[in-house]
Formats: sequence, C-alpha cells, structure tokens
Amino acid sequence: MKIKYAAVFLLFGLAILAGLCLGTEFYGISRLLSLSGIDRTILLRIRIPRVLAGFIVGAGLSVTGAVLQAMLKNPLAESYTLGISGGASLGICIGVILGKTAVIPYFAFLGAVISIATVLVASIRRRFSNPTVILLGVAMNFLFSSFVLFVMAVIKNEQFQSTMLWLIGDISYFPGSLLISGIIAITAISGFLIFSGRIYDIMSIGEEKAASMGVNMEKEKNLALTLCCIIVGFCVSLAGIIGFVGLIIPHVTRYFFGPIHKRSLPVNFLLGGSFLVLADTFARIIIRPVEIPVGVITGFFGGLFFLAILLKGKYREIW
Amino acid sequence: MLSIEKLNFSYGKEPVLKNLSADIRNGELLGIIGPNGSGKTTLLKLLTRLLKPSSGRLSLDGTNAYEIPAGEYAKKVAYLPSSIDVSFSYTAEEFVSMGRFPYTGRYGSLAVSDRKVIGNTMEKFEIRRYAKRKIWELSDGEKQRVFLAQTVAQEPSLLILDEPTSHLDLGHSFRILDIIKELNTGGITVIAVLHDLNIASEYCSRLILLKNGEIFSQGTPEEVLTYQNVEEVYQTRALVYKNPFSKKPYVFGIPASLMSSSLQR
Repeated sequence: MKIKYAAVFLLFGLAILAGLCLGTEFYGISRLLSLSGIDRTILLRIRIPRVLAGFIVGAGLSVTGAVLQAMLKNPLAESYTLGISGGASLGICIGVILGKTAVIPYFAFLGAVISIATVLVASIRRRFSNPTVILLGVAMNFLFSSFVLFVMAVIKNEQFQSTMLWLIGDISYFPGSLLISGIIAITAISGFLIFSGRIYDIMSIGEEKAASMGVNMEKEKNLALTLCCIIVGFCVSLAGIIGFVGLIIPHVTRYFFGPIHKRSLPVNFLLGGSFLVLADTFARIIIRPVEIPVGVITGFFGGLFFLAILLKGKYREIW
Repeated sequence: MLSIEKLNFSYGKEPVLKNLSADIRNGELLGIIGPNGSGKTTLLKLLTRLLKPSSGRLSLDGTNAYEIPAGEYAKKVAYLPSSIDVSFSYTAEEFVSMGRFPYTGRYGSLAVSDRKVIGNTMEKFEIRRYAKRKIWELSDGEKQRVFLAQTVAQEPSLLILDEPTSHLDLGHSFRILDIIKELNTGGITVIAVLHDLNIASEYCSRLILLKNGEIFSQGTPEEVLTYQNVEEVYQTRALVYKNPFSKKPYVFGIPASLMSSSLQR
C-alpha cells in the first residue's frame, strides 16, 4: 500500500514538472530556476496557470465522479452523464453566438449549473430511483446536444473552430480570476467531501441500509449533488467539456486503492489532477507547434489504459 | 420495548397495513410470518423508520420514536434488509466496520473501542478467517454472516431482520439462526420476517401472522401454527405435525394437485 501511495506522489511530482518544463519551448530544471525576462513571463503567465488549471479540473472531475458513483450506485455516474456536459455545451454555444470570448466561461458555468439543477429537482420531486436519475441525465444530454448541433450548423466558420475547442475540452484560455476562485472552491469542497468520506461508504451499500444507520439520505444526496455541481461548473468554465476523467479515474483508483472513500477520494484528487496535467502537456508537445485539445488525449490514453485494466486486470469485476 | 398503536400505511391508495397494534417485548425473538404481500416487509420498514405511517404511533421504550434523532435511533435499532447489493470491492472487515457509523458519525474515525467491538463481532461470527477477502468473493452463506455482523456491530438492543435466510440452504439457515438465537439469549431483542414456517416455529418465542395488512393471529408457535390458520392465510391445504426432536409444530404444505385423489384428512 505504501508503495502505491509513493507512486501517486511521484506521478504528481512528475506531472507538475513535465507541465512546467515541456511545451513549445523546453525548459530544463536549471533554466527553470534561473529564469529572466521573456522566459519568466511565459512561465508565470502561461505555464503555471495552465498547470494549475489542468490539475484542479482533473482533481475536481475525479472527486465528483467518485462521489456520484458511490451515491447513485452506478458505474457510469459522473458529472457528464448526469446531463451537465449538455447544459454546459449549450451555454458555450450561446456565449459564442453572443460573440464575446470573455463571457463564454460564465455561460458554460451557468449551463452546467442549470442542467444539473434540473436533474436534481426533477429527481427529488418525482423520487426517481438511482438508475432513473442517470437516464434523465442522458435524455437531457441528447436534448441539449441537438441544440448544440443546430448552433454548430449555422455559425460562421471562424467561430466554429473555437466552439469546437470548448466542446472537446481545452485548457488554453481562461480568465485568471476564474482560476483563483476555481482553485479555492474545488479544493475546499473536495476537502469537505474527503472528510465526509464515511457517508459515501455507507451510501454505496444501499439507501435502506444507510438510512437505517442514521444517514439522512435526502439531505445528503442534495448536499453532495449541489457541491458536485459547483465543482463541475468551475471545471467546465476553465476547460470546457473534458470527458472521461471523471468516469475513469475513480474506477482506476478503486482498483488500486480499494473503495473506502476516506482513502480513495484524496487519491482521486491527486491522480485526476496529475492525469490531466500530463495529458495536457502531451497535447502541447505531440505535434509541436500545433496544440491539440486535451480532451482528445484524455479520451485516447484514458480509454487505452482502462481497456487494459478491464481486459487484463486481476479482478473479474471492476465494479 | 417497541410498541405500535393503530398503525396505518398505504402506498398510494392501496392500504398495506390496517390499524395495526402490537407490542414487541424486551428479550423476545419475534417472528413475523404471512404470505407475500401481507405487509411483513412494510411493517419492518415502519419499525426502522424507513417509511412513515399515515397515522398511528410508534414508540421506543415509551418515547415517541419519531422524536428520537436518526443517529440515536440507529444505536438502538439495527436493520438488515433482505438483500444487500455490494457494488464496491469492500473487504469483509471494512464492511463490518461500517456498522460503527452511528458512533463515529460523518467525520470521525474508528476509536480503540470501535475496533474492539468490530474484532469481537467478527470473532463471534467466525469471519476472522476471511476478514481481508472481498465481499463478492464470498459464498452466500459467508456473505450473510458478514452482513449480519455489520448489523450487530451497531450494538443495537433491537435487531430487525428481513428474511435473513432467504438465500441460504438448510444448513446455512440453521447456522445463521443459531447465531441469531445466541444473540437473543445474550440480551438482544430480535424481530425477523421469516418465510420458512418451520424455521420460524423452531426458533421464535412468539409469532405474528399477518394477512392483508392485519394481524390474523399471534402467540406461541403452537398457538399460531395450526392447520386452520395456515390453510386460511396461505390459501392451501396443510398438515401440522410436531417435530419429533423439538416438539415444535411442523407444517407440511400439500399441493392442490395431490389433494384431489389420494389424500383425505
């Protein structure tokens, strides 16, 4: 177990280092420590914010994915299968139509929050079972994406490219203030979720059992969904729609560290963040000087790695 | 210790429990029997407060049960649902440890005293051997022991069990009920919904027979398990003998297809 934790920290260090050193311009460690002039500006204004954003987005998506999977007892639960990606994409498209790049993150945030709030309120009002909540999310996603496709079909060519980047997921543009508030909010909420870890253990063994142990299920579900929604709102507005991280990292973490949430949620935070920073770094250097959107990389490598675990792993059942 | 007065409950318009009153006495092993849909599980869920009655009173040791905070109630009343679907790869020990949740709460961690309870419980249920194994690797009999151990780790004074032997074969059923009997002798009051009338007869000190949401009969197994009661409630023909070893009533159901020709009582 200790070796596994050491490996996670090593990966974390590597990811941060790689994120700072690699890119269109390569910085060695010595050059990193004695920067001046333009190099310094690049590092402070571009590299560091980008690494921070990548880390916090990956961390937030993974932690929310893990909590949602436990709470809804569904291996496919994550922020995006709950309809959030659809709502956020629609928000992004509306922002693009309005023509102001600066407002897009806020529209993304709003779209994400509105869509998950809809799922939340509908589920509570109609007392949906957990799988039905997922179905509702999927239905919302389809509805929203038809709007998105409509917008994509009618917008001007030069807007098409930037909209596409948002929808695939890309960490190259975000306002600095958003990054700071995102870091604070996501770290604080993740901390709270980690400390409440025992609740999610109990919830994952069934609503009746949990309720009979004194957990107020309705209250806890609302609380967790609301907190996840805020995290995801920030993630989407910083990086667009990055799929897969919130789905795969929790499964990988449980596979290696077991399901006890007090133990696995912090690992999710570190692993998810490191994974996205590494993926983003890779996206920047793979076909220099062209940068590919990080969503492409997360989908590709995340998918490959997860397939390997599924097909070659030691457990018959991952879930 | 637990008493219900004029409890009514319905899912939608269909009443499930009608004006039900009963007293659960300290130290008894009470079996709840009755055909499918007679309201057994609903009654258990009302007793564990998972459901709220449309009218009536539920009191625990004299106080209105609905005024007791959920966490406090969970320290006194523990519930084992008829099926638990464990989606994650918890080990047996991790799973039993969750039973301490009412004591540790949301943020707490296991104290020395909690670990002691967990250790003792696992000892009592003889599940130490597979403490580190994952739940889904265990057989149904082993799983049920782990589930029951988790419930007992809550240190309740009242244990509510919904068909604790439903997935088990004859031998495993006996072993689980032997454990339950032992817990009962140790001072824990037990209410169990049991499908198997003969197991109920063998182990329970008192039975409540439900029919259509009402108590049809209650009392000792001898009083409740008469062939008249069984035939009336289960809508089948039946014979009741005595188990030659325990002298408890033993029910033979007789399929209708056999009744027509050979058998005449």
